[in-house]
Amino acid sequence: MKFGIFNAMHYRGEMPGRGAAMPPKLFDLGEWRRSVEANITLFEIADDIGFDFVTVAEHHYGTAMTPNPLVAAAAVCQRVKNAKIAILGPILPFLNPVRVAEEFAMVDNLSGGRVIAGFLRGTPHEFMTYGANPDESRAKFNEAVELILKAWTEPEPFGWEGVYYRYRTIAVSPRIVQQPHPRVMVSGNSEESLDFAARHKFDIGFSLANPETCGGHFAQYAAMAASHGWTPTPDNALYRHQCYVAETDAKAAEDVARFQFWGAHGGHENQAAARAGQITVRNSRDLVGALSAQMGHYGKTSAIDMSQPPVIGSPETVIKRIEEIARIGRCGRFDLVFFHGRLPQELACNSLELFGREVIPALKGGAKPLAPAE
Amino acid sequence: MATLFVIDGDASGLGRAAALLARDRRVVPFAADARGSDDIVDLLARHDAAGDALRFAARHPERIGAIVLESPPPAEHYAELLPKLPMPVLVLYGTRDQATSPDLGRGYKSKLPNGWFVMVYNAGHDIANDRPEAYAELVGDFLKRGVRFTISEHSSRLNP
Repeated sequence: MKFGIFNAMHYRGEMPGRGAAMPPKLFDLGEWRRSVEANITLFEIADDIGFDFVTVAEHHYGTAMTPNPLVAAAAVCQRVKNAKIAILGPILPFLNPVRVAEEFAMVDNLSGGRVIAGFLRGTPHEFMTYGANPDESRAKFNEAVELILKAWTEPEPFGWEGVYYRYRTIAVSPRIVQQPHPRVMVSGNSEESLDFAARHKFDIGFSLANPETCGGHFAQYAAMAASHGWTPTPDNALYRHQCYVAETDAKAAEDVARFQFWGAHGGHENQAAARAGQITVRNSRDLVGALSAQMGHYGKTSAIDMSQPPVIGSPETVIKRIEEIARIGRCGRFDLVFFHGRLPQELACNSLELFGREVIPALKGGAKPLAPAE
Repeated sequence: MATLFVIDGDASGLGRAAALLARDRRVVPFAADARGSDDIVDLLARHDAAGDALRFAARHPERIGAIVLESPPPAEHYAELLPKLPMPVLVLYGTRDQATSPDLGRGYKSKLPNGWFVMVYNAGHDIANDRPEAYAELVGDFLKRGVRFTISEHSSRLNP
């Protein structure tokens, strides 16, 4: 198994609520800077205690400080010396694929060849950003990925005449360090995504997911990969969820409830947010709901399940839960969120250190072997 | 009006792309007019006909404005010819081409003194018929503007 910490680098100051398109006036400038340090500290702790990778992602117009995850990764890789730098990932339908290829090449060089690349289509609420049309997102995503791969691997200058992208001259510099290119992960949430991943020999990722559904999706992915002549293993499947470790199960449950570590998503119900002058609860929920339906997100075949509880408890409980997720979901990489809601930094650090000291050694050193594939 | 000679046996092999290209130039089969004409002309060679175009251009460089090669054989087949061609040459490969891989474009790019290599996304070996609009726009722009085709002339302004 491999373990990573996912940190959206959230603003740590007091906020009247959450939601899409937060008014910038609500954020304290000094608190943004303090929050940067607190978040990077978690990455440094993870690196020191032996996490395999640290993860950033792309989020806009809210409390996460990573609208450009490549910029975040460039900063993080100067502070994190050993762990791989997973960028999971830029939302390609919004972006210039050649620029994305260039930025990954920069970070791969800055990090000494430690980048793990993730390419994403975007969650529904992110489509308030940049004016991208969600109806075109899958087609643009597919083309952008192929273009990025060519930009990384083509040794001569070339042009691209696409359906959505046109570049008459492309010659990415610096060259990507890892040859032919870094490991790539895409979503494993839909049949189309699984097929795409299988065709390109990409890894798949699940977020906030039901392990049973993940296992089913992995079986589909494996069958599709077989038709393309290769066999994925659980190392090709990543599972992301929130994780909180405390000395006892009771302490963990108490802390999670007290500090809103779980269940602090969306926040559209928060009337205080409406009073603070944000876009209205009703409008933002309706918009996000409409986008979700339009994009097929959270659909029948999606592995996303917002009722799926996070990994919470004592080290022993967390070990058992991760083993269970690995066995049922066929996932061998765990990308875990150690800070969320109003969790104090000292508790997040304690959780992380308990995980590194007791959970990782148990799962890596003395873990039961994964059940054979059915 | 400029003349584009197509080396493909028959210009109608271009399908709808021929009509789109013909809006700005004469599009005619190579065998009909090229030999004996005194005008500067452009050549478009499809697939295995690349050698015919390259050899003609090597013998009569003063008569050729530009060359387009669609899904040609590997550049190594013409290794001695290519470095001697001074005119702009555009080489196209489809990203889904199972007969001639888009990777072959790099051979032309490295050997031609004035070469341009473009991958046409979602097209197979027959780029003209797989993506006629994209093909006509790309080839037409290259023939009209030469190396300036690398610079966009499209406005991105939404409204005044």
